Amino acid sequence: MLRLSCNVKKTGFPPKTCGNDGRCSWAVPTIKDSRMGEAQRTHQQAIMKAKEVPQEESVLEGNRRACYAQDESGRYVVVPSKGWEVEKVINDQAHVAIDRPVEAARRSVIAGEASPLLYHMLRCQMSAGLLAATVGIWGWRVKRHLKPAPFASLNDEMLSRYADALGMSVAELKTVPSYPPHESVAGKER
Amino acid sequence: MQKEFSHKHSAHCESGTVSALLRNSGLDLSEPMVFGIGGGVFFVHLPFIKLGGIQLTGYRGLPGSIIKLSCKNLGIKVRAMRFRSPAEGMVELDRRLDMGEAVGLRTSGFWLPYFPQAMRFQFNAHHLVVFGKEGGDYLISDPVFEYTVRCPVDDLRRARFAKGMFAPKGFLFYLEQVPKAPDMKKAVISGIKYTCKQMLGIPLPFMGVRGIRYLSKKMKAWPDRYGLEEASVNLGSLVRMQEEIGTGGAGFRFMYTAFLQEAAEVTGIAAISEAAEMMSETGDKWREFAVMGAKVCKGVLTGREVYAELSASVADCGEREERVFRVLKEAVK
Repeated sequence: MLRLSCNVKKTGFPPKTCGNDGRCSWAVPTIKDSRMGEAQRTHQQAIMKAKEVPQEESVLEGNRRACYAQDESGRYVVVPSKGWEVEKVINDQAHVAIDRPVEAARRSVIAGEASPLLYHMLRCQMSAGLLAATVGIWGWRVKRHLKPAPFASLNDEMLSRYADALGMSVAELKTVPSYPPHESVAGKER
Repeated sequence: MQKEFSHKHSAHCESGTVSALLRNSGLDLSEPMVFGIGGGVFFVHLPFIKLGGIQLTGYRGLPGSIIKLSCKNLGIKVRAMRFRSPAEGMVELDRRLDMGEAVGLRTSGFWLPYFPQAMRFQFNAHHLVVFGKEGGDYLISDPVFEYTVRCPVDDLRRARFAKGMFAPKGFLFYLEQVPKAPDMKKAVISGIKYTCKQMLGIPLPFMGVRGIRYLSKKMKAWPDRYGLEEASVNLGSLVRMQEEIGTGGAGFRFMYTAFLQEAAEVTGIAAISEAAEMMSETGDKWREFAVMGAKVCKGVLTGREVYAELSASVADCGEREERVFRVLKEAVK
């Protein structure tokens, strides 16, 4: 099904970990759908066929993505795809890069070194500059509010502006979870 | 208030949005057709501009360019607006909906609750169609989703008025006048001409076919310049731009092939279908590059030499695309 898995010989790279069939094990998907025949395992044909669009469990949470692939007559048509392992790998990588500072921020909030605002700002993938622009105040003020003491002295109006910008309630804004949050996708495995 | 809306699953948000609006105004054009006529395919690599810490690489033009060019080439009148205040923008949206019109919006992808968690990134160039309002929810035809979705008012407001790079500022557009039978041949040819000019004619090293070569050259030096770990992050984000962000596969190259196939039928120029075949092969090469890139990111392939190989594969894509667009340029001369 994944004829796209690079032919190892052709690219000239000996893969470091290999499956039984001599190809990189992760690149060869388990074929769950019985309609997918053996024919699709051959890697010679370099055309994206409609029936060969990868259908692997990925990051789409049950949604399907539209891909363009060739049907029998050779025309490119939309074929929904459940996901592709390649996408999952790179998506995980991106989320690790996002989640690492979020988790570090959570710890430093608990340790009393930073305000919960830092955690929630990073959780929303924002920088101080972006948050400042969203709330409509100067960047240095946001930076100041990332420290516990100035944050603690914020009035309700400012807190609710922050809460609105981050899409949460004021009560939520004042706290951080005491354990790494589960909804972070990549965080689960790492 | 409009409730009936014919929704079609598309690969790319912007071309899908225009296609959806056209379809509901009585002009049925496929997504690839809009994409091609709008000169959608492009390549740009600007390593010195960082978006969220990653180098800017695009497989298409600036957000908004497809709307602009496809409508211009098809003779469609578009009205677009931006707003200073979120309240104003939401009022205008409601007013349009009350008139029974469907409206295209530009939003951030992060604040839309129906997005899968893993796909939520602060990226301000998502497009969607709002076609109604029910209770506290907007009814949305998001072209990259299989079915229509709903979005609460507050979330949509946040998404429309997200700040940062490409801030949408509530960008809203609708079609004022759609011709019944536009001159398709002319539109297709000017779309192709525009794309050829973009891909071959910009005398800067970062854009078009030159950009692909530039990326290939830079990529070879990544391990030395950034170290292996950061190099793999660069590579990962590149593959993400190519495969994940609603491109229909291979960084829009497969969708462009679909356009070229339709274009060959509309214009009757044989060389265009030849170009379509070449484009399809190029897409396959991009796809192979993505697979290899993901292997590097996963640690299946390691070492510095991998980048030389990856760089060669990107260079190969560049060569192929140059040939495709040379053929196309000749074909529509």
